[in-house]
Amino acid sequence: MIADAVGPGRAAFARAFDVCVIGAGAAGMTLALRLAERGLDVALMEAGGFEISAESQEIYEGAILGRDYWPLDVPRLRFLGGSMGHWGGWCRALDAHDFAAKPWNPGSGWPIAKADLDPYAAETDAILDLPSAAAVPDAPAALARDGFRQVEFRFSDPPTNFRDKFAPALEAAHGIVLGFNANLVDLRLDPDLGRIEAAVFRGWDPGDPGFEVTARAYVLACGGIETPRLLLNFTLQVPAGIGNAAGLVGRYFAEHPHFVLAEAIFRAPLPELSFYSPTDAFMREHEVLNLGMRIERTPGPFVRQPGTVAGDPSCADPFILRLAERLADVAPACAPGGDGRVAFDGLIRIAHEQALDPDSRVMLGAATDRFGLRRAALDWRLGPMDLHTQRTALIAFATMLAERDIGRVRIRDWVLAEPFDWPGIADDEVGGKHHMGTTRMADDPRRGVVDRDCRLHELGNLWVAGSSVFPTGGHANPTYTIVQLALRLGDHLGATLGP
Amino acid sequence: MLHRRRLLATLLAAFLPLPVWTARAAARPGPRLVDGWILTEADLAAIARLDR
Repeated sequence: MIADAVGPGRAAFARAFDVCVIGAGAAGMTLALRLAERGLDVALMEAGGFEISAESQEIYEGAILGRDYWPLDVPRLRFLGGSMGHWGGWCRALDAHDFAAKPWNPGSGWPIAKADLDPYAAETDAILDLPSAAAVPDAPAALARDGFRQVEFRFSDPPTNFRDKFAPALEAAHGIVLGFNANLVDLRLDPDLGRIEAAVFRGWDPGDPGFEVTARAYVLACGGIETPRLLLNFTLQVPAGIGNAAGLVGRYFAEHPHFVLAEAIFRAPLPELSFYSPTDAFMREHEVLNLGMRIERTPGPFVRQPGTVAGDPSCADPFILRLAERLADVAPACAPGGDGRVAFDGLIRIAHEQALDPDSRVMLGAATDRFGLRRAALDWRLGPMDLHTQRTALIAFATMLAERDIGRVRIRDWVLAEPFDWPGIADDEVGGKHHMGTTRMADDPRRGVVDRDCRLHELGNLWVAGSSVFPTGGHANPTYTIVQLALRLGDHLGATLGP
Repeated sequence: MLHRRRLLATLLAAFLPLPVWTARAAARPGPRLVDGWILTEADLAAIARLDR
């Protein structure tokens, strides 16, 4: 059923639930439906409504303290379905080596393995309306050349609209109460500070005294910026914020840095997009992070008629003519004519795993929202390992293209510049709008906020769903892994709390 | 003449010291970094012929 927490619908929450899931985006909706399948009684609390609204979206405004980034209310949506409302549909599971520690990225390594998420692949494919991975395979590792192999993304096309696809199921599900306009303003702890006793919500009216939802278990599923913001704000009983004894909540914020590194020309027509990733051996040898090198076709293939002058073979090669024109403004003296061969323009864009940095973080700003909670302040940082990954991979990739006479690459000036800085949002894509790592998963409470089951180390009944638990992010877009983890968490809670 | 000067500058750049991070790429035979491009010796020779 659906109950608007602003008004009489609030009465629907005046009972104890098995699980209170806070946040109805990809993670929260997937989890709630899974829990209901397992026979659990669920309160799914959404801060916004069925439609986007200015009053809800405004809560996501915040400050940018570090590297240039979008205003924080741009990449995130605060209504039913969450940021899936502007999802692009890109999907890829993390690679097996993404879960392993890379010594050159200190602190990396998941406490779980790819094999722990693989059992949820088929269901995730169905949820995200994807073709099977078998239908879109990566090139076999044996076909890797010069340290790179072609890999594939799968596309939800059109991108699954979580709200429209799953709202009917949420409304009809026995055991789910979906609450709208329920803004979490506190998590009340028991006297021993070991468990959550109640989640406290308010509606939009400034005079609203709020209401509590009680449950056996609580799950924060609010995204990689909002989840740490809320935990850090809840200081009435724990001055450092909930789950923050080790000071890790909000730290290790990671994006997938996205930059156009180069223009290129190619001998053969290009697909619209093609993707290449480094082999394990390449990453170990060069101590780089995982990445996807994307060749993108640019519109309007260059066409030059091959020349016929003086018997010079270079005049008969439009590829060389194009290269000369781009490289040195050489005006070829070749006469028109020939066989119509063409050269094709493209871009090379990288999306890569970000190096771990505890100082790259979500913090609390000085400004407060209408509920008196301090707004998010993002200090996103990229470092030497990120630059090393970009430069090393690009040069190796471009060298491979030249040696195999596939194409030639012109590296953008900023990539080579010293002193160096990355472009800002006015000049490049910068990031994938993927927010990861801020309640990272680790077996050791000194190294992570949640354990391998996504439960906060410090609390017996509070879990986190979403990409904030990723210890590292690989290069794949996070939605696929978010859904896999939500299904896995649903099974864990089902087994823990089940009837 | 302007084109010739630009091309000469480009070719000279091929022999300038490269930053440390390209040392591995520069140490191996084959394509090299020329004015931002990764080019083969054959590319450079063909482009030079165009400007004769």
